Amino acid sequence: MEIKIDNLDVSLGNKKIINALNFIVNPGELLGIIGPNGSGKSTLLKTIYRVLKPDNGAIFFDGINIKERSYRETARQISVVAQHNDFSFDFTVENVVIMGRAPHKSILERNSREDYLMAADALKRVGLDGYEDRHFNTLSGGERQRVILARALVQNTDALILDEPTNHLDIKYQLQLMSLVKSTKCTTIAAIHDLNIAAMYCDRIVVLKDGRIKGIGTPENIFTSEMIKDIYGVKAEIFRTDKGEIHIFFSSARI
Amino acid sequence: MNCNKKYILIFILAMVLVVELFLSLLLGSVDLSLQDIWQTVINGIISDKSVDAPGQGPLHDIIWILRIPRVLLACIAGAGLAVCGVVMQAIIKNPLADPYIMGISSGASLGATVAILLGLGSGVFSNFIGVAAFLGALGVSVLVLLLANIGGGVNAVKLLLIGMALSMVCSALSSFVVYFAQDKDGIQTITFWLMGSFAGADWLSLPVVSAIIICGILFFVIQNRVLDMMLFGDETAITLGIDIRKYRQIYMLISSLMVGFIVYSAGMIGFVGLLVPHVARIAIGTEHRFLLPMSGLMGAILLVLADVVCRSLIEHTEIPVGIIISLIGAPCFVYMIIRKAYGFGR
Repeated sequence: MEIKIDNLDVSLGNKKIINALNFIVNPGELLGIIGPNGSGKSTLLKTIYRVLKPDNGAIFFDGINIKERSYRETARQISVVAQHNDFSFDFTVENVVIMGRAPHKSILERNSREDYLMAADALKRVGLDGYEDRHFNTLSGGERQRVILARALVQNTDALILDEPTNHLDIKYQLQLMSLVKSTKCTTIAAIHDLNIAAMYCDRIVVLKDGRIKGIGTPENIFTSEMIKDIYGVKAEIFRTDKGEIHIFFSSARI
Repeated sequence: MNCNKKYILIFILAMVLVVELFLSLLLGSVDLSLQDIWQTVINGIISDKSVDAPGQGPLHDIIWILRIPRVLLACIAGAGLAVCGVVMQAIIKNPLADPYIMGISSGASLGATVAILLGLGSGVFSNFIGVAAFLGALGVSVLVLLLANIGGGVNAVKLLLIGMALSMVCSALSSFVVYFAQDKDGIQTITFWLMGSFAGADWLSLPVVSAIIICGILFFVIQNRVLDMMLFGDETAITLGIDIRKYRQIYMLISSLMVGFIVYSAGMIGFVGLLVPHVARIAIGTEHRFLLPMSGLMGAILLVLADVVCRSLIEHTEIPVGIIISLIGAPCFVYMIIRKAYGFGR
């Protein structure tokens, strides 16, 4: 699925957060969004998954303005792994994952055997095999994050939106989650804090600051000491290995 | 626990309720044998005369006019309150919610107080206190919804806070009326009425109340997936294809209507709508497709039992059912929470 952001303006209250944003996400691409806190990453993603409404501009999925689609239709096109996932009532892991099937069901339709098999399979893929009957609120932050990813997988969409997906995860699961996301071949937009993770997995990077695009391109082109100094105000050195991998080292001295 | 076990549990509770309904007909000021009751119930069902047609014998009158409506009302009210409790907890995403939380109780009290002390509508309706309470309850919850709609989206916290604020206004108005009316008998009537009773059950209002409650429960059972979604929160629900803000208002209106009718026919019965949903969750989990039937059955069983106790505990005296529920229910509730380490999911 192709996602096109067209001249997008978004405000929260009276404050303009996203300012005349334009970019295209190509089908099957993993696009990373980086930028300092408050740069508008989450706001942009929330507008794409329709929790927020743009003031101006539009978002197109495969050429169709999402405004013209129902929430249900949108939920069959994109799935979301967002940041905050604590519930005030206790669901089992299976209850949470099976909810990913909701957009595919009519109001009276019950979850079928296939749906439950899909849920079990998704849990296996995120490394939580056999967690079905565990209570969601007793899990660690990392396990919860992976349950939510399993729910997104079960939703079976062409596109995936991730808001800081590797938060709460230890390094093993950070790598595992990003590899899994990459292997789904979904068109993916991910807001990522860890620049090394972004460099390792993203096909292209969008750099966001104060709601504007400061750069867009492959990790090769984007990650330079100058850019990091300019965007984050910290000193960094970039090393490239023979295989073309990028490693970013930060200096504790500020600039 | 797998799905089949949950269905079996619900079926067992339904059977318990049927047996309980039948046994509860035994109790009362006249001693009747099981045989008599069975015969009369069957005769009444197959007879083509209307229930209140004269000359069908004292046995028929005791069972069909006095006892059955009362027991059925307790059953319907219990199921309705428990289901509305579950729904309210989902609507405002808070385990402390009960059916009366959105200002319904104080609205009903205000209506009842005005009707009793100022005598409004006493000539027009037979159950004028009930009618006034119904109007008070529904009026306040509609007002809460309207106010919450001003200034964009209705969210859970806004609903709760506006509900609380309006409750205070209603309580203040009730106190004002009570203070200036200086009517001791009237105040006692209010007190009794606020504690709830099934003594006023009759065949005139029972079919209407039953129809509303049963339709309401069926509606919510059909909507079980949306109710699940409400507990995930507004944002997650949108990403799963449902804008729950819209549903929240419809659900609130329907449950206010249900509670309004229960208030009309049985007064205020506290605690059932808070206690039963939690006990049902301990037994069967959070998924609403099981939780709603489970809560409904548990609420019905509990209130029929409570009504039996308040009719028979002290001879020739009836204890208000609200007192019994709180006295027996609260300690059991606390015990279950401590024992099962049930932390409302937190």
